[in-house]
Order: sequence, then structure tokens, then C-alpha cells
Amino acid sequence: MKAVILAAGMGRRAAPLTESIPKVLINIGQKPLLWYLVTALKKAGTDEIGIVVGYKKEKIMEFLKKENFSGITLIEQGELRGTAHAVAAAEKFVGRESFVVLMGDSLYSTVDIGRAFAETGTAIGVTEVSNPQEYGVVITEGDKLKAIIEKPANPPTNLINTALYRFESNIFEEIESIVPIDGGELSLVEAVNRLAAKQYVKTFKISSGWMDFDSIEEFLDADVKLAGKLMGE
Amino acid sequence: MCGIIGYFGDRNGSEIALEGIKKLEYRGYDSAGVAIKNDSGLVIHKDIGGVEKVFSGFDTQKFAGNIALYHTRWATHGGVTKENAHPHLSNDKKIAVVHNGIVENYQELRSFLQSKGYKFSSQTDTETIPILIQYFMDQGLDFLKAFKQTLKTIDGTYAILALHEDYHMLLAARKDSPLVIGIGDKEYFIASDIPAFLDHTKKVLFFRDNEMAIVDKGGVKLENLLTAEVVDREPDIIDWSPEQAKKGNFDHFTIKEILEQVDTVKRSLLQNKQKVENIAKLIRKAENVVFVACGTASYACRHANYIFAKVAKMNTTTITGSEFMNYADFINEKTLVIAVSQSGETMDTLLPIKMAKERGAETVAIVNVMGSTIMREADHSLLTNAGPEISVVSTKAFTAQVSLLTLLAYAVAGKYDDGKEKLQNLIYILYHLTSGAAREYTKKVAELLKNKEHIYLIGRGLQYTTAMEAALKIKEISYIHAEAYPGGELKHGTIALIEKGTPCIVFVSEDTEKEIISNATELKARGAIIIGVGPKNNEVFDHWIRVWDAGIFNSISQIIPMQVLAYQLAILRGCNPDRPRNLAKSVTVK
Repeated sequence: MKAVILAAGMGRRAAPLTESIPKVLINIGQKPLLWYLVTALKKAGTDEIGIVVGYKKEKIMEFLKKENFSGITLIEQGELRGTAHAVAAAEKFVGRESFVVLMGDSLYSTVDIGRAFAETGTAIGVTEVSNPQEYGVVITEGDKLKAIIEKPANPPTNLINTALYRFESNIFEEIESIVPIDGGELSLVEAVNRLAAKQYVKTFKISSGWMDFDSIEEFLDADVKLAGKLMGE
Repeated sequence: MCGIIGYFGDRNGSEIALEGIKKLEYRGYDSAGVAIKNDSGLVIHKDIGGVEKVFSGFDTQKFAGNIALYHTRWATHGGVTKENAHPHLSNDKKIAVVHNGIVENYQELRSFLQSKGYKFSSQTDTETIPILIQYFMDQGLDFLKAFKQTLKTIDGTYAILALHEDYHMLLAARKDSPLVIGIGDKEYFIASDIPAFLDHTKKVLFFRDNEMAIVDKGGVKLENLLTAEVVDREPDIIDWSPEQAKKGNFDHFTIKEILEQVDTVKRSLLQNKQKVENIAKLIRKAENVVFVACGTASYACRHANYIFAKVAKMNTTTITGSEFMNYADFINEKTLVIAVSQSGETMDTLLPIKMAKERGAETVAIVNVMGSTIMREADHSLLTNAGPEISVVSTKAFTAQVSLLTLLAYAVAGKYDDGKEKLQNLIYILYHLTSGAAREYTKKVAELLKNKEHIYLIGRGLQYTTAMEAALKIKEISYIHAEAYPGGELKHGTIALIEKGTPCIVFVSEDTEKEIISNATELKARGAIIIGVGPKNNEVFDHWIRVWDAGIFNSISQIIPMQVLAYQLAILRGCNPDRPRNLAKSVTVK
């Protein structure tokens, strides 16, 4: 099965770490985020990885060449118009098959990625956190996704979206039907919500090792804390 | 940067706190003042000059009081005048305030208060504070509530002390400016720094940002301003000698000032946006933009040359102050000359400004000292807000200069807010670079270099200008010969000097990595020991000092471990980094 990493964004909140490199190439511990993602995907058994690139894509090309990773296709997003737009850019790459989507600014464990591959239909990885108001909060009925609410002031649960998705090709039809939110961005969460209103979208709890990064503070703290640790695992 | 101290207790605060403020004069010395509350009301005394001068004839017995607020000023908003000296008063003369910091939205608040009929007698940002407190009291709030409401209304940085003629209490608050409480026997001191009260108590309660203190007969109470919750914190006991304390428990001002850069870079960004943008306009309009400076400031300008090229796509030139006369034939009324100087008194920078004006050029001063000669001489000016720099070698003034020049380049490109945001984020990198762990690591590198006679430093682009400033720091305080070159330039001659064991410091960025590593490899092949400074380790490095890549902002971050290295080298070689031989802080001769 193919996997798609969304890695086109500028990482504005991580500036100035992103002055010369894209967010996915910021080091955490000893290696850039992208290295952990590609390595975990390969360990989970896929050798067909698409990386959606945009900001400083030449740096990603240099990095992949240096690391000598095989089986990687670069997909250009062109104009950066949100996560749904990024997934739509991968349509040609994934064809009509099911595929897995991961965010370039997060770390996922091999086990959880393997889980996404092993699911059937459409599925999303969820987890519990202590600060759900800062994430997309997931409302479920059993394991069925009812809706994802972005950053609600009073979250009804602690369960949040880790943006580890397994999609079937019908996601592209939903993406086509959504309208841009403020600033013209197309949100993948909105496409998933539309799908969940029509069909069974499964939620599965991820086991461990998920981290996401946004601000420079988070990147630096994780980097200093994990220096030498992530590689040693 | 200013110094403040407040006293609340049974003894004569007028006398006790006067001794305290003298110990804070290192924080500013252009004017001073006091507010004393006693049975007959408020006594205010203030003037321009140092503390000794202002209080030379002041009778602390005659003007005794149980609550006193002293201030020693380092001007940032408003020139050095008696009116601008602190304390500042409310219109009804009942509220007195001393303040260290900058009220960023003071113009807006001033207009608002003026529209309500309140009068201002100074040009300072601070005066808005007592008047705003009075405004809220006139609306029906009591002193405490009005004080809290004022803190909610002002933006910026502050350490504030306030008192009111009708209330037997002392109020204090802190955000991004230092403030500590000393707890004595039924008496309290609140000051910018511990030495101010160390003769009276060693029991210290530290403020954190966004906290306020209420001191009254019942004692001291700390409150979090964001949550309105009472803060219960145990006091610490300080065992410093007063001499140590002056340097903040550091052995030297040099290292104290190096570590202050986390704050000073932040403070360099507290600018009036309109003023910066007006200067940006002049830069865009000029046919030629010429920076003039000496020593470390000249390297800040060389950084600016690269940064203006990259950010604003503009050519600018830097001319060393003492060479200006020999180079100035092209200066005319279409030229903009920007002088950069910490003290604002450097003769070699002042003379070019005078000459440029004679030739009809417009002039801008970027200095650290309000009211300094260069500032007065220039048509326009900006302050770097780094506070007094006591160590002879420049560290915090340098990064404040680069930071402000970078902000200016962004303003020229029409991206002031973007530049400011990135510079603010850079602080997170500086936190890590000034940490104890980072300093310990640098010390190990210093051990390896301490007996060397020569050190070569190379870089490309902004890493080259960093190499120049790093070489100067090493020369100035450790007396090791150090020379900087552009990475590609060594092979045109100097590489002949490289032999087995020659230390070479190589500055690397994401954008220059390939080429500079190739240069480092050439050096290594000739026996050099390679010390890499940059985001990634490399097999060519014998030692690696990690600095996260921040694009053009590397010019501020990469110098920090080098300042620490120079300091460590000085210590290991038995040199006094605060007083390097043959050097003076401010060079006021030609």
C-alpha cells in the first residue's frame, strides 16, 4: 500500500528554524523529522512513499539523495492551499487504491503506522491528551467517527485526531466538494467530516510514540530532550 | 534599563533606600529621583545626573518617611531632562510611580488620557502609568484595583513600584524586567537587583513575570496577574557577598552581559514602529546607504550589508569610522549615512557624521546611550535598548545592534512585523545557547585552544562576518592571535600558514554547508584541528559546537558560543575579561 507524507508547509510558527529548510527537515534528537517518518514507514512495510512538497523542496531532494532512500516519489503541491489540497495533489500517485496519509510535522511509531495499513475502509488514528482544546477533538459512537471539531473552547472529550489516516479513493470526491475556509485553505478535516456523515469511518487508538510539533519552542525542547534517545531506540 | 528600589517598614526609608539605589547605578545614571510618603504627604525630589549628584544636598532626616521609592534612569523614551526623571506623578499629585521597562502603547494611552482632560508634563512612556491609575480611581476604583486595571491596559515590559498618598501600602509588578523582594524584620525592599538591599536582608522572594506584590502592615502578598490567584512561594536565602552580587553572582561582567542577551535582544525590538518605518523610507529613497562604525559595531554593520542584500535586495556599504575621511568623496545630499555606536561617543564615528552633514547627507544614529553626542548630532536616531554595558568588550550591545539592523532591513522590505516575529522567536534558540550545559561544553573546547598562538576562523556570507566578530572577541580578551577569512579566500594565500595542530573554527549554515565543508576539508588535509559551529555534525569536525540554523538570524545566534569561548579562554589564560589590556570602553579620541 502507498503512503503519503504531507511536507509542503512553511512552518511559520517554527521560524526562524525554517528560514533555510522546510519544517520536516528540522532535527529532533539527531535526525530530521522526515527521516523518522520515512524510516518508520519502511519498517511498517511500504516501499511506495509519496512526499507532497512545496516550501524549500530542493532541500528535501538534497536530503533524500544524501540518505539514499529508495521508493520515494516527490509530489509538488504548487500553491499551498491547505491539507486537503495537499492530499488532492497526490491523487495521481495513489491512483484508485487505498492509501495512508501522515503529517510531516508529527512523529508516529512503526506499530501505529502498521495498524493504519492493516485497517480496512477509511480509518483515523486518535489518542487522548490533556490539552484537547489545542487539537481537533474527535466525537465518536463506539469506534465510529461522528465528527472532528477543530480546537473547541470546551472540548467534550480528551480524544483527538493525530492525523494518521487510511483513505480510500472516495476521499478525493469529498475534497472536491469542500469549500475554502478563511484565507482560501482547504481543510482535510472538513473532507473527513463529510465522509463520516455518509459512511462508517473507523477510529483506532494509537499506542504510543506520537508527537506533534508546531512552535519553535516545541521543536527545540523536544530536540534537546531527545538528543541521542530517538536514535537509540 | 533603569534601577529601582522601594522601601516599606518602620525605619526611615528615605535614608535606607538611598544607600540601595547607589548600588543600582550600574543600571543607569543619567538622572535620579525619589518619592517619600510621610505624615505630611508626598515628598518628591528628582534631577538629571548620577545618584551622588542628585542627592548630594538632600536631607534624608528632614524628608524621612516609612515608604520610599528611588529610581536611577537610563533614558529610552524622552531625553535626559528633569521633567523626564522618575518618579512620575498623577495629575492630583497623590500617586507616584517609578518604572523600569517600556510601555509600548503609551502614545495611544497618552492621547486617550489627554482627550479626557489629563495633563502630561514629560515626554516619557512612564508618565502614562500614574495618570492611568488616577483615571481608573476617578472612575471609582480604589488604588489597588486601579493599579491592576492599569497593568491590564498597558502593553510592554515593566518593573513598576507605585505608592499613593492616602494608602499605607506599596504596590509592585513585573513583566520582562527584573524585580525582587527582600524580606527583613517587619520591613520590605523591592528592587531591580539584590545588591540594593543585601546589607539589610539575605531573605529574597523572586517575582516571576505577570506577578504583582502588595506590601502593607499585614506583610507581603504575591498575586498572579493573569489568574488573579494568590501565589504562595517560599523565600530563598542568598549567600552572596555584596561584591559578587553586583555582578549577579557571576565572576565578571563579561559573562553576565553575555547571558543577558536573551533579554537584550528582546528589548532591542521594543521600537516605535512608525519611527523605524520612517527611517526605512529614507533608506529606500537614498542613492547610497553607508554604514559607519568602529570595532564590534562595524561588524554589526557588515552583517547588515548581507542582511539588507538578502532581505531588502539593497546594496549598502560599511566604512570603518577612522577611514571615512579617506573614502568619503562620493558622499552628497543623496547619501544616507547610518552611524552605529554603543556609547554614541566614539570620536571616529562622530566625525564622519559631522562631515556627512556638511556634505548635505542625511544621517541616522543607532546607539545605546540616550542623549549621547552621536545621537544628538544625527538627524534621526534609534536606541538599541541593551542597557549599560560595563564590560569593555561588547557582547550584548552587538547582538542588540544586529537585531535592530535586521528589523530595519525587514522594514525596508515592507515586512516589519514578519521580521519582529522571527527575531522574537529567535530568543528560544538563545535560551538554549546560553544554558549552563552549552557553556560547559564550550569550556571543554577552550581547554583545547588555551595554549595555541593562532586561531583561524572561516565562514561564508553571514558566517564570514560572524567569524570576524568572533576573532575580535578572542583577540580582545584572551590575547590569542585570531584571524577571520571568507571560506573561499584562504586558498589565495593564508592557507600557507596552516600546519599540523593549527586550530580552525568553521562557521556553517544550511545554505553554505557544501562549500564551507569543502574548505574545512582543505584545511584538515594540512593538519588543522577543525572546530565546527553550525546545525549539523560532520566527519571533518574534530569538535562540534551546535547552533541551530536560523538563516540570516545566524548572525545573532552563532556569535554567542564564540563570546563564551573567548571568555573561557581569557579565564584559562589568567586574563581579566572585564578589563582587557590597552583598551578603553568608549574611545573618544581620534
